[in-house]
Amino acid sequence: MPSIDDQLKVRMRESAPRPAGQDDLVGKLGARKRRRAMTRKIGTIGLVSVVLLATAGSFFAIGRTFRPQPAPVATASEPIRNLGLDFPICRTMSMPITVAGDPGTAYVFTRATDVCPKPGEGDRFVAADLNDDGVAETPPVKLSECFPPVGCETFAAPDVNGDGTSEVAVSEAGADGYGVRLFALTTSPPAIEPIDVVDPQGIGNVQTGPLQFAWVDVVGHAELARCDTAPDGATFTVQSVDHLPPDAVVRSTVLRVDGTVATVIDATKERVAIGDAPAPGNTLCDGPIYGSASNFPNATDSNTMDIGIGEPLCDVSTVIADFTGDGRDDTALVGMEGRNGRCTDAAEGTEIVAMDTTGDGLPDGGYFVNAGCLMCRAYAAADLDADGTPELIVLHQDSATPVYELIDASVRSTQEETSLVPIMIGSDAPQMGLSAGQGITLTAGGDEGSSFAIGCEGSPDSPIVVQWRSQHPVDGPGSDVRDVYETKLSITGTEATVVDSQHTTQPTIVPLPFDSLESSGCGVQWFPPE
Amino acid sequence: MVDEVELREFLRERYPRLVGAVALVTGDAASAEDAVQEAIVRAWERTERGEQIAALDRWVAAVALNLSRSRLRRLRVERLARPRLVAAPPIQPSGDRVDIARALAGLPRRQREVAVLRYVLDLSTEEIAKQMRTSEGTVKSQLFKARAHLADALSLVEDPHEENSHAEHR
Repeated sequence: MPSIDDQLKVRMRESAPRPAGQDDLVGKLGARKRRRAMTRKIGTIGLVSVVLLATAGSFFAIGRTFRPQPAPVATASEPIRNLGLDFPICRTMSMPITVAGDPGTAYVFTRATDVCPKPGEGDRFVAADLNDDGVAETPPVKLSECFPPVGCETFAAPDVNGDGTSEVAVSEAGADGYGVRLFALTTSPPAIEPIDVVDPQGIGNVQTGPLQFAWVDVVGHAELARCDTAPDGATFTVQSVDHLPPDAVVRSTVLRVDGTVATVIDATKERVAIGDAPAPGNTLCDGPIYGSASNFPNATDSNTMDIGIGEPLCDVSTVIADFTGDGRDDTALVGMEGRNGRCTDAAEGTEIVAMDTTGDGLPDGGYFVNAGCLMCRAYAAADLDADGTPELIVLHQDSATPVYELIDASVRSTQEETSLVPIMIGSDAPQMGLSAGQGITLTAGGDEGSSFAIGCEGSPDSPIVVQWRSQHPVDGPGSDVRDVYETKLSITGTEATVVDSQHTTQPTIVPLPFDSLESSGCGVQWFPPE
Repeated sequence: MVDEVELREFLRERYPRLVGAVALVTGDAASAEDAVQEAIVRAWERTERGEQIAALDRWVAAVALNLSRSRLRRLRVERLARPRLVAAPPIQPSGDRVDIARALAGLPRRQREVAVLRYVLDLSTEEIAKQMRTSEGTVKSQLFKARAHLADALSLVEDPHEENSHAEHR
């Protein structure tokens, strides 16, 4: 009788589903490859360092009242760099490191060619800026086996040997978790080198060679690592945990890391209660974990990006259009700035609006902080001023009365830079609750006693944006009559001008002159939001 | 891979088994086929850029499994696959295929992957560990559990002479 292994081999192979059809598979794959090439965004890697100071007056309506919002904080953009390397880079991820007690930054990035390869594709490198001067002093080390779709990422910068200088951990998203490689950082000469495991006693439960460990927490099994301080020096422990209810078996291999050598000095196997078993979280050696693992053990947040602002951009939404009018698509990014390398609760975050015009995943021309956002997202692109390039429409408050903010993105020819500027109201617009110089917001939908709609006249040649609003008390005196306001706006560049406004009253039993439940115009579905 | 002859040979020799392996892990043949094709195209692009892929079948398997893990990817694949699924002639799976699928479905995904990589793609413990970014000890432990579950679910009987044989005899 064959062994169980042989039986499984035979039965699993025979039971494996077959491909539906292999007719002209080469042709199909070729077509697929061409489609990928066509849809790949073409962009030259221009490195632009710009500081954009933008203010956006914001204003939104809650219930029946308009309430002015404080002006957003103006934020200078981080300069965009290629770290002093002799080749262009993109998809740059960063994390703070400590070098002999002083701050530095470790980077993981992709070599750009004529395009920026997709995540997990192209050559990926790790390098370190030892003194935070914007230049990577260590020669870039090419990372192997950065599989799509996530690829290699910054993971953590623990000081595993307590010498005051971080080691650099780089992760690769794999089966239900992360594989992590640990590199040593040296300053003289500046270098990042793999740490090699040696096991002279042959007692460890780790592979010798390059130090790697997993960061995994699945049903019945976990893998992790931790730092410890012992009287005779710091140690780094790699652990695997198998749950065998009611206990868990914890296998630990203790390493002493000295430079680029990690020596196995102890190995244990112990049985503990499952509740007491170690489990991986989103810190390593008391420091944060970065990249897509920053929320571990939660699922990878595919909506998180590193746009080179020193913190991840979380819950990212995008709108792709040729905002700058150069014939190539640009990507508008709206997301929430993380904190300490991680995504935070929506209520704590700061919303950022940015534009990537070169396809390198970084904001070109800076970004601005958008205060007053509540679950903001990049919503649409529409040419509201008939200048041939669309404006960015950001959904500023997603609710029964969604509020939209309009943003102009254009190349300033005199400065050859891209700028993002909220469109401001040029003169007071009391019917919209706006004063001159405030960022314009448009409201749709309705709530108790308030109804809104957004329309558009004359599009596409000479669009006029129409904002309707009606208001009346829900009950009590005055509830049988409502005010109806109609404001027409002409937009030119970054300014909106009121070209007409009307205020009428009408009994509440008379239908509104607009439909608050279905409003669209200028090519935008304003309500309900898509 | 750039050479069409090599590509045809790879597709003939390795493609069906790779699709089958990914399908056993994901439980969906259409999305498995899509993931494997996408992985092959990515490998093709890489080789055209001059990159070397040492073991193409293992690289394709790893990438296809990674791709199949992405939820968004799955949703997109399902959308794309739906018309094909509707158009495809109904195929009644054999009894054993159902048994195997059911037995595999009872495993945590990690164990399922280890089992498929070993038994279908014939990867060694070292190769599986490398592919799954984990230690060989963990692979052995996962494979041991998977093997025990599958043997029980499929009522497999061990030859008494093979009793000391273990999934990790390689």
